[in-house]
Formats: sequence, C-alpha cells, structure tokens
Amino acid sequence: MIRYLPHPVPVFLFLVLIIISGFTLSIVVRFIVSVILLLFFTFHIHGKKILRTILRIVIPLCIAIGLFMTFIYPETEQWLTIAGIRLSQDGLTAAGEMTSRILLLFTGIIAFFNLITIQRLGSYLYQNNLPVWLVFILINGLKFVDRFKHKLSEIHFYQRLRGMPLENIWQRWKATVKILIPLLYFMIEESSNRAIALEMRGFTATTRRTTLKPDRQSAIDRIITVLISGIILFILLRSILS
Amino acid sequence: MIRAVNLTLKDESDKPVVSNLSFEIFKKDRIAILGRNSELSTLLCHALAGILHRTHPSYSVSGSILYAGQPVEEIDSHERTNKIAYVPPFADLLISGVKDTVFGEVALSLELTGIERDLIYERVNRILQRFAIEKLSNRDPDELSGGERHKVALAAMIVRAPDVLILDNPSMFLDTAGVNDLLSILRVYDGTIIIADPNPYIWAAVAGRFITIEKSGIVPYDSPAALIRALEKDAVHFDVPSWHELLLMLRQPLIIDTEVTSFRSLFSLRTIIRAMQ
Amino acid sequence: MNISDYLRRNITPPVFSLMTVGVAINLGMGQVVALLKIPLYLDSLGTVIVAAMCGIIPAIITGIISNLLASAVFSPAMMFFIPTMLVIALLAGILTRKGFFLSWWKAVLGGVFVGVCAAIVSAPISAYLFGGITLAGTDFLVLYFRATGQELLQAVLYQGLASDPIDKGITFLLAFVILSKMPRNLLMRFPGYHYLRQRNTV
Repeated sequence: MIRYLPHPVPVFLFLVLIIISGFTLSIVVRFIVSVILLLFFTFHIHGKKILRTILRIVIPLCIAIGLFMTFIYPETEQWLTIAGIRLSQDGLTAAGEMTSRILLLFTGIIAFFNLITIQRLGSYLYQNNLPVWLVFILINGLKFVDRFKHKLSEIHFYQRLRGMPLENIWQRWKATVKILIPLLYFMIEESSNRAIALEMRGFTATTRRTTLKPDRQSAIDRIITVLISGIILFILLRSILS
Repeated sequence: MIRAVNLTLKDESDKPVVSNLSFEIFKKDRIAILGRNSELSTLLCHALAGILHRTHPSYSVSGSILYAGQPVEEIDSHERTNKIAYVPPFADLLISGVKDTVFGEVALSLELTGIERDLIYERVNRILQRFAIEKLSNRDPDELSGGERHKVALAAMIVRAPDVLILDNPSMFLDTAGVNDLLSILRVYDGTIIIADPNPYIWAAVAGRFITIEKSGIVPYDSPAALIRALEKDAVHFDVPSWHELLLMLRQPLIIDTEVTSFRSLFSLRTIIRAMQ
Repeated sequence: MNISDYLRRNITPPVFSLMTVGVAINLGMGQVVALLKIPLYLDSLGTVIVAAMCGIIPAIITGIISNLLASAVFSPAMMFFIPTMLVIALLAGILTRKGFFLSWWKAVLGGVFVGVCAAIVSAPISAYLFGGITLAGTDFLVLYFRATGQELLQAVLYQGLASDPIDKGITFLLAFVILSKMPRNLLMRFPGYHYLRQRNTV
C-alpha cells in the first residue's frame, strides 16, 4: 500500500501536466497513461475512493458517448458491419478521442480533489498570503451548503409535523418556495453579521502574515515537483520551437 | 476615554431612535447598558464598536462617539482590532471556520497581524488555560458542543487583548452554565467592559456603572427617595425583583436622561438608606 | 480612483459573506432541484444574486469557486464550464447596472438573453469534450438533432438554445423575487443597492 500523501504543489503540477497531455497525446497513449494511473491508485491508500468516483461518473459517461457516437454519426462515409449491426468508423474514432480524453482528464481532476482536501488547499493558499476572505469563501462555501440542506430538511420536517400537505410535487414546490426565501434572507443576514464580526478580528488586515505550521514539501514532494516541472517546461519549449 | 457626544440616530423614515445621547466611559470601567428594548442596546453596541454603518446602513447618525478624541469610524482598521472587541449575541459567529483546530482558530487573529510565532504560542496557550479549554486545543471547532464553541469564540476575540470589550446581549443564547463561565472569564478580564444585557445575573455581577436608554422623557430624580419610589413603582426602567434593586443600589447607578444632555449620578446605598429612615 | 481603492471600497465584509452564500446557493440548488424533481439546473442562481447585489468581480469569483467546488463534489465536468459561468456573471452584472432587476418581466427577458449567450458559449465546450452528452436528461435532444442530420456542434447548440434560456429565465425571475422582497436594511449593506431599488420606493 502506498501511503504517500502529497503536498498541494506537486499535485497541482501533476494536474497541469494531465490537462496538457489530455489535449496533446494520441488516443492510445492517453488510454495507456490512464491505465497506469488507475493501477497506481489501486495500490494507494486513498485509491479506493478515487476509483469508486471514477466508476460512478466517468464510466457511464464514456459508455454513453461511445454508443452515441458510434451509432448516430450522420456525416460518415464508411460503415463497418459487425454481426449485422452498422457502426460508423468515424464515429468510433471520435468516440475513442473523447473517451480517452475524458478518462485521462477526469482521473486527474478526481485524483487532485481526493489527494488534497479543500481544507489543506485553503490553508496552503492562506500561508501564501492569499486574501483571507478567499480562503474563507472556499472553505465555508462547502460548509454552508451542508447547513443550507440541513435547515431545509429540518423545516420540511417541522412542516410535516404541523400537518402541511406535502404529497404531490406541486404542494411540495409551493411549500419549499415559501420557506426558501425567508431562509435565504436569514442566511444572508447571519453571514453578513458574521463577516462584520470577523472584520473586527482582523480579516481585512493587509500586514504580512505569520504562519504557525507552514505546510512544507517533503523530499518526495520536491523530487516530483522538479520532475513534473521539467516535463512541462520540455513540452512548452518543444511546442514553442516547432 | 470613550465619549458619546450628542449622539442622535434616525431610522430610514427619519424617526429619531436615540436623540442627543451623551455619556462618558472611563478606562477599565465596567458598564452595563440597560434598556427595555434590546434593539436599542444592540444599536448602541454597534455604534460603540464603530460598525453601525455596516449593520444599519440606512440610519442617519449625527453626533459622534469618540475614542480618546478620535471618532470611532476614523480609527484605522488595524488599530481597531487591537482596541475594540465586539461580541455578537450569538458568539458562534466569531468562529471563522477557516482553521481545523481550536488552537489555529484562536491564533488566527494574531497570525493575521503578523505577530511573532513564539509570542503567538505563548498568548494562545495562556488564554486557552485561562478559559480551561486546553484539552480542546487540537479538536475541530465544528465538532464541539455549543458551550465549548462559545468559549472558543470568546478566546479568539480576547486573545488580542483589546482595550474595550463590548458584549451584546451575551445571555441570549447561553444557558446558566454558560453564563457562569462567561462571568468567571469577565471577572479576570483587564480592560473596559461594556455589556448590554437585560439579564440581572450578568450585570449585577460585573458592572459598576449603568447606562439606561429611554426614548421618552424621564422624571429627573432630585432625591434618593424619589428614585426609590420610582423603582418601586417600576414605572421607568426595568422589571427587576427587589433583591436586584438592592444589588443595583450597592453600586452607583448612573441614569441618563436622553432628553437632557447632562447626566446625573445618584447616591450610594448608605446615603439612600439614611434617606429612607 | 485606482483599482485597489475601488476593490477595497466595494468589496466589503458583507460582500465576502454574500459570496460564500452565493457559492452555497449554486451548489445547493442542485439538491433542491432534485428534491422537487424539476427538470432544470438552476445552478447559477447564486452567481446571479451576487452579481446583482455586489457587482461583476464578486460574481466572477463566486462562479469560479462554485465550479471548482462542484467539480470536487459532483462531477469534474463542471470545471470545463467555467467560461459559461464567467459569461453569466459578466452579463448579469451588466444587466443589473442597466436596471434589468427593477421589474419582473425585464428580469425574465434578461435571463432569456443570458441563457442564449450561455448556450452559445457552452456549445463548443460541450461538443468538443463530451460530444453533447452530459447525462443530465437533455441528451435526448442532442440525439434527436443528430439523427435528423445536423452536425454535432449545431445539434449541441440547438439543445442549449432549447433548454438554457428557460433555465436562466427562471433563475433571473427567482433572483428578482428574492431581491425585491429583501428588507431594505439588509439590501443596503451591499454595494449593488442603487441598481435594485428605485429612488422613491421604500
């Protein structure tokens, strides 16, 4: 089991590399790279979650695209016939392009967000002097969604307790809209009160920040950073010079 | 140190909410703002903290609140973090949620203003000890109970050692245990405390002087007997049972008539009791 | 007045808090819509509200952060539609300044227009990367258009023009309702107040 938990910087560079490769490599190479990555994640400690997300999101999308492109492709000239079913050659190629690209890109993005949590990303940005407010929005945006959903289901519960009719969609819709707007006002007011109180704690300060526990790269992190930066520079130079 | 000079607040329909209020708060004063209406006391707290233009932007303000001669809106925001601390009724609002440990949360204000690392460690540890929450130091603030979160919020505010602490209706969201914890923290706090709270348990234990705000005219008190009569009739200020009246008289009540720009202070318990006999 | 002063004066603490709520609304509306089984997205309601109340730059930041978090939580596809979100934020901000949030029909009109623009911007992205398939329920339209002989880009564009204006029109209408009923004191905390209320109404 690989237990390596990367620092935000190498993972970010890795994502950049993946995005570049997703748009430049050929179909077969993309598939090969994706398979290598998937194998790597099978043996990684966080890999199960990554693989599960890929299974849930990427595979259905790729299958749908593959079917769609292969069978409905009007401008094709060549048709293959396999077991009596007519397939489009161009469609297959286009499907292969898109599917391989999506597989590579999505694997990279899903890996990125699973290897570094939003909390760690936020604290790394914070220690690099990004305005506190942006870090605040990043981390609290997600937390607010949870509270929003929670409040909404709580209100539904109390409404049902009161005996409000919530059977069909129309009634549910009316009930939710009626409570959505006051809920929004409450959330806006409470969060602006919070912001005003936080301003008194120094959130608008422009002085240099001290960080108690800076998030530094480990040795492996540095090696990977140098490697990937090297590859990216090489690709950029090659495309500029050609 | 803090002076309100002819403070008049008018709401959006130009109706005066507070007119011509003037008072003075000294250094290391412990003052309670009592009012029948918590809206008014919240307004005054916001005005004292200098955030009235943010929370009530439609109100027009004339007159000013001066901190050592400087109007509160003109205080540089960096300086203001060091001078004034405002604690909203729901203290949870002070927790930023940006850090995932209590230690980090409390240290956040100090980090943002560039204080040195060793000093931060020392001050945060000291305040966590004082609030008796060192064992929570590494926990995620979201997972704490309400009372613990409240203590963390207060710690985060007080770690900056502000000169003035303004507490806006602190007992609104606290149970009795929370109130007791709050009082034990306030007793050892070194600086000016301004509390706006109708709850007698709080101000009776902490405050030494009182500001009461009324919109309508108040019968001025020329003699202690008149005051006691008024208090007994409960015609004017607040509904308190009689043992709280005694507590009140143990300090020196400072009653401000908002229609008049001067203020009168009244008499100590001894004088009052002597007058009653 | 240079840009730093402008930012500091207009991006006040209430604006930051509204951006957070905007991100939460953008991410949360997906759940609400699923709960109520409405065949729409409504995932830019937060951006539109922030654009109306705070201006273009806060709305852009809200949109970008929402798309980043959505690609972390929902599907990585969202990351590639950041240009669409930028266009929505920009246009919503401009329309507010022209007073489109002062009456409901203007708001709906503005929404439909923004929907058309959003469809135009997102069609190339969707066609090139995903072949028009998003597994969101509107894919059958693309299939239909393809089966009748349209090119892929055209098919995706027509699908977008069929669904996006309705979605954004309803989004703008909802935003209008929310903004028009907001208590004045709350609305005044934000810089966009001037464009949202007429002078003589309270």
